[in-house]
Amino acid sequence: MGKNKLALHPLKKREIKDVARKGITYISALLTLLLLTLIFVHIAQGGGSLLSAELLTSDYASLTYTYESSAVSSYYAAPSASDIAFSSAWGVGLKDETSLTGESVVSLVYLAPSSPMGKLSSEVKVGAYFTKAFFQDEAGNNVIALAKDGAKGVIETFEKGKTLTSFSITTKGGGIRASLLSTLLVIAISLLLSLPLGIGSAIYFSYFANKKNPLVRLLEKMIAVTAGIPSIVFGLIGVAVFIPFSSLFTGVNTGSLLSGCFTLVIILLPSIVKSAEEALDEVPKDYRTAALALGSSERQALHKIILPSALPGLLSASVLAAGRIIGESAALVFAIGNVISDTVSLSGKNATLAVEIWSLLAGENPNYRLASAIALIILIVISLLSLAAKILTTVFLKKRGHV
Amino acid sequence: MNSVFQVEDFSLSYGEKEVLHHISLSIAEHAVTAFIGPSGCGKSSLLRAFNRLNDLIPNAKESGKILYHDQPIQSTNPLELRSQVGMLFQAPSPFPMSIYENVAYGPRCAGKKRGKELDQLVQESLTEAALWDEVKDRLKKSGLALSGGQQQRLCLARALAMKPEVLLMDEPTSALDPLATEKIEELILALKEHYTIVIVTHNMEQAARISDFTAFLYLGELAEFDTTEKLFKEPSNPKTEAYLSGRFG
Repeated sequence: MGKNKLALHPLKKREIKDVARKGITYISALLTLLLLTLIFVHIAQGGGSLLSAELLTSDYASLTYTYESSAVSSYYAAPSASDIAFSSAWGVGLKDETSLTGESVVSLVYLAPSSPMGKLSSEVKVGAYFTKAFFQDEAGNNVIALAKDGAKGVIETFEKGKTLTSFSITTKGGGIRASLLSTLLVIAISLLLSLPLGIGSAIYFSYFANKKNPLVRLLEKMIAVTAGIPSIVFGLIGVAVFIPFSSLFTGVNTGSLLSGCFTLVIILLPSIVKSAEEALDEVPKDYRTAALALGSSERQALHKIILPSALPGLLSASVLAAGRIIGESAALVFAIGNVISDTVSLSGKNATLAVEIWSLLAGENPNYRLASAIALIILIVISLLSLAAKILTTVFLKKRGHV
Repeated sequence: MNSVFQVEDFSLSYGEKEVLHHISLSIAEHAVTAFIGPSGCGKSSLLRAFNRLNDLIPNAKESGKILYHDQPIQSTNPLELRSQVGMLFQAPSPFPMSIYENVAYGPRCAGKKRGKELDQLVQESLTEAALWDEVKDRLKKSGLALSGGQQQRLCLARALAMKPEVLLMDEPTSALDPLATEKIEELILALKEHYTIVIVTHNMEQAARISDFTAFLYLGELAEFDTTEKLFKEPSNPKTEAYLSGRFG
């Protein structure tokens, strides 16, 4: 009896080891989660305040217009708003503001109906940014008002001016409408080209290829290796191959959205093939056998049973691919270019959001706030895409009666 | 009695390995023929030869003949052969779609898909598989939500919807509990009025209960083939006797 007595001590050495291993797992998971949260908070703090519908819908380019004039001052009644600096001599209300790109500006917030400034051009309107103005005072001396003096300082100079000689205004600009549209266009075209190709070859590898054939195995190995090649290498291929190739369609000899799409297709294909193959491999092989035993053809089994069953996996592969497109900058700097323009076309060279972040931070005055705001938009677009995929899957499964 | 299948000197090999050696037997119409034998004896491979499912295995090689109504099956269109020769598998394998769509799958693939006619066919097939009363209110629900026994009967209904002549069953009850097994066995006995049934089973009592003819396969050879009554009562091959009395297997 005494010989078989059970140990009373609760923890043995091997149990302690188990606890330690579990602990390490928890700690590393927590660490990752913490880092992710920090990144998100950091981006949201930096760029959240810049995020607005106006940022998403307005043009990037800001143009400065200068008008010659010989108008003289008069008297204009002040508007009811009291928090603006107002010049009663010229009928102009100004206010210190922050631009879409996060710079401090003097914004034109009120213009009296008969103000001589308003008559200069239709560009001089509420919402534009004041740049500079030249006046002559009563004694005939030149006085200059500059935006860097701030709204109050500018108005003081305005009040001194008797005759206006020149007036400069800058349109708002800084919006990311074109970059956002370019990104969505690039996602659509790249997925349209790469998904059928990638899923097609995944079907071949998963169902028809003889895995014992050395050539097939070599192909699969090569695809796996290609998936690991850094995208910047593909950017060089984009310059060497796809810019000349896409110029056949666009007629443009430089990088364009189209050459960027072709480059992205090459970058995406290996990972699409791999993840689609995994999604197809998860469909039980019984389905195929059972379908064929019912007298259906391979094609019918594939289209009616196997592909629909793999749909959730295929959709998440597509979302991953879309995520890679949004995040890709290195290759696209070469294959498209980093010009931020306001016209979106396949033959145009327009930066995508990620490339815009890159060029915002690469300049002499890195604009960290706008870069953060764009990063936030990227995160939101990705979340929306995965949500859409999720909803699509649920609706589809419900429709098939498989919930 | 008429024979549906006539197997003549049939051998099958996977690559270098021959798994069936010179089998000859015939499958009688409107009767249940059981294949029994220890694991790896080739009984499932023989069953899968009848609807040419072995074609799916890349290195499978056949020799000899299997005649389906005097026509060699190797020269038939496999899609047509399989719509005449239905099959039930060991693990119930309903497709991940609704009960209705599961049953309608075969007819739809064959191009028979008119609304009312198809509804009628689905109801008939489910009734024949003794499942209609249990699922008539939830035809639009997933086939995977059913119990194991119900799933197997759904697979049976799916096969019956093709209006086949022959039903092949590959250990159809080995994944089921005793009650579900009993139900399937009752169905087999009822179905043999209209169908020719070939069943592979591990369970010797099952073969004795439901089959009219039994083939005992051993190491890829047909050791004995006779009426079930005779094979179980007075086996002529000593190996059959040894297997039946539980001395190996």
